[in-house]
Amino acid sequence: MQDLEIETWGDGSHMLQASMLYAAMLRCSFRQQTAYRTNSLLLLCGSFVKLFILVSVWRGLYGDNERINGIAYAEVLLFVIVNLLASTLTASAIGGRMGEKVSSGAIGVDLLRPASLKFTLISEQLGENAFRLFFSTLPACLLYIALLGWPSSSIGVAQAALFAVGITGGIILIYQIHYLLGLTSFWTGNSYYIDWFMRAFIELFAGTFVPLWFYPQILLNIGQYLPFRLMTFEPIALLVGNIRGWEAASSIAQQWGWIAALWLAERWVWRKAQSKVFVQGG
Amino acid sequence: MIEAERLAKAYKIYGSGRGRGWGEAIRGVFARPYEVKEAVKGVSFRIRPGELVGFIGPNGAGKSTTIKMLSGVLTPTSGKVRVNGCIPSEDRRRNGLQIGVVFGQRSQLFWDLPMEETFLLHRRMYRIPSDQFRRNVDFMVELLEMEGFYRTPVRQLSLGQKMRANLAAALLHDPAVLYLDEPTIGLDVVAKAKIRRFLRELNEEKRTTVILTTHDMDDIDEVCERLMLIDRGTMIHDGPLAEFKRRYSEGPEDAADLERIIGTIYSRS
Amino acid sequence: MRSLPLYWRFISISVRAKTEYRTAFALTFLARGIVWSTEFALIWVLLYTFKSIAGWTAYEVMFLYALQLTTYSLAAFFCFHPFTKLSYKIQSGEFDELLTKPMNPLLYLMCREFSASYAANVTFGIAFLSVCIYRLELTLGVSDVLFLLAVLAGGALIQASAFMYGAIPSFWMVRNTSIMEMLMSDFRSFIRYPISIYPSSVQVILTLLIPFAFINFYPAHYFLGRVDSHLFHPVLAYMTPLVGVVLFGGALLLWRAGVRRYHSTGS
Repeated sequence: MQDLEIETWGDGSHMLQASMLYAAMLRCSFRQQTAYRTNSLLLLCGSFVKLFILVSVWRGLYGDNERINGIAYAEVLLFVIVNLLASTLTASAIGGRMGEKVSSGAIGVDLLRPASLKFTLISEQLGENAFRLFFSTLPACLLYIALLGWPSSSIGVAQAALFAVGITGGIILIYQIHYLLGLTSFWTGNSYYIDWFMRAFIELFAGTFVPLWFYPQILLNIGQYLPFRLMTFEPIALLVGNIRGWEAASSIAQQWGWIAALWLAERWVWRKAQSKVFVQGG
Repeated sequence: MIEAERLAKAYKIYGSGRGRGWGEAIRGVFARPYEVKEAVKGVSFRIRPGELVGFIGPNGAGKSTTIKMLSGVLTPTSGKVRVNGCIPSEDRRRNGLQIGVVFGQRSQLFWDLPMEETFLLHRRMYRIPSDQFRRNVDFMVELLEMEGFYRTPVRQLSLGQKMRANLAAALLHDPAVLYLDEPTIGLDVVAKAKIRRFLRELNEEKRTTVILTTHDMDDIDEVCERLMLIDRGTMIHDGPLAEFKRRYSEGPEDAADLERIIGTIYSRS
Repeated sequence: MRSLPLYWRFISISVRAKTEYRTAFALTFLARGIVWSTEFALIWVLLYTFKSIAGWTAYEVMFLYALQLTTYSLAAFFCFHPFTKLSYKIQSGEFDELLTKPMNPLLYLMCREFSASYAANVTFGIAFLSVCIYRLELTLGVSDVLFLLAVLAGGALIQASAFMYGAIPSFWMVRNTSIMEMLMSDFRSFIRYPISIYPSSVQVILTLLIPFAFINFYPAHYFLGRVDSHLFHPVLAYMTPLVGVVLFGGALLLWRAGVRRYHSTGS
């Protein structure tokens, strides 16, 4: 990645220039991936296999039933495919990258650059993920649908719109969480086990593998106090029409509430991290 | 006791298989076109125990290939090599016991632990009797001046220190032959001097045969007695260093300038 | 076999290197444990509402998971680092080192790169197995326990072979060798569930071509007392150790060929 020079930081155009910077980083990261063409093909096969396995599992679970817990088979499959695509888009090596920077000392350089570490890492990650999404996961899904078919379901415009809003919020929330977790590597260095362990915890309450529609009540109760169900599960529920009207609005509001809260937490952690670097030299 | 007879190594370099037409492409699936590159074209020599031999030559000349054939990493395409009567690439166990190898900067030590751990492992691997082991460890640590960092994890050592530790590890079992591929590359002047001095003293103490390849003329000058000059797979010169200097130097003033002499030979050939 | 103290020393070095960072080691152990436990728990959650998949209940499916985890980890002790790093070693020339030691290169490779950190996985794998056995109220006699050990050993050999078949092609292929590795890891995900949920073609592949189904699916029939859920003859439930030995033998031959190839072409 080449350093991009920012010459003027005029007040009004600050935000614009910053966004252009990060967009450029994203493009860079995206293009870097073209070097790994065979990788794309392999990832495509991998995604295809994943989808195949998941669909087989759900077909096995549903058997002959049309609806279970009020959810149709087609809706569950929608859940599966949206999660697959979303998980590609939100995959994160941020914790690991941060850990490497911290333990190698490169973090010092990053702090001197006129670019936010957070958006740099996120743009890079997003670039990679976007590439994988367009050249591996999405084609794999389309290939699957073409070869093996897909149950149809009707989605109203309103639901689609709500989904669009919801999934955007969800993705932002996911990145915010990843980044916040990544910051812990300032304390744990290269063994980013906090990041790792949290992911497992998150998976349990996020409903990315098993939809929350089928969860035992006790886990659902705990999950109410956590932001993880707002990541992808509730946006998908919006899509499928499972959450409507007032609940839908509440869901989206909660997303942004959490994003704000986590952002505040991040600023606090960041201040601590920075003082750690400058006092201890990283 | 190292005998090389018409040692040769040829590689098949496969074409990319991107033929012009469909016929080419299909044929390419079954039999890829290749050309043969002869890295070493038949060299012969005998090395007696206790000799200090240097291989020199431009990049790609075949030095590394030759030393790999001698140490048993590569099997020759034709010709024979015997080290103390055994064929290196076939009799791996016997060969391993009688040689020590340090190739370039590649470290054979365990990364996170002090060098002592690797030494203890080698004691078991080479079945070194404890008194010999103790003696050799003390000998190496002293001669290579490693007391200061003997207990430091290898990870934290400088390049020169790692190099010395690697040498020690390779020699604990008193091998008859020590093979070195570019031993002083990347080291600072002080480190280079230490290693060269060590090699000379090692040879004096233990009569270890030392065979090294290098680009550094000072390595040859300060360590080796015998020089083998290889270019494009053939041996251009094989003989005592002193004779080499005498034969190729233009006069008494540049008898010492090995670099210039060799440069002249390359440009002539 | 006189060299046993030698191999033990290799292993103790790896263990010691890991425990140099004692806190980090303990925390990673814990973190892994939590990760595996969560995956284990998620299977239970999956089957909470559905009760069973293709006739397999929650703890039966978790039993499959536990077998997979344990055999993988046993193999990973010796195979993960050596074989995932193999292509790098070949290309960089670090592989030379193995050929100049008075030791079998494969053993040297496996011992040198022994990963003590998989102890966490094995511990948890066995813990999960125990939980399943308890929950399923399986009564295991002496011969059953012995067979279980044989199944774990056989399964570990199959997993080890997968590592090896995935990596050994790097002796021949200059560039991208991750193909085989990816293939192996993709196929491993199939066996997390009873393979009877897949179409017959897939089941055939997992039995005859890439026999991963022998790692957990077929032997589970023996322990769970099932006879009905697959296409093939019941005798397959007993074949895991045999399949493991055969596959591993093949991998050893392939390794030999690979080393011969290295001898002739270098890095």
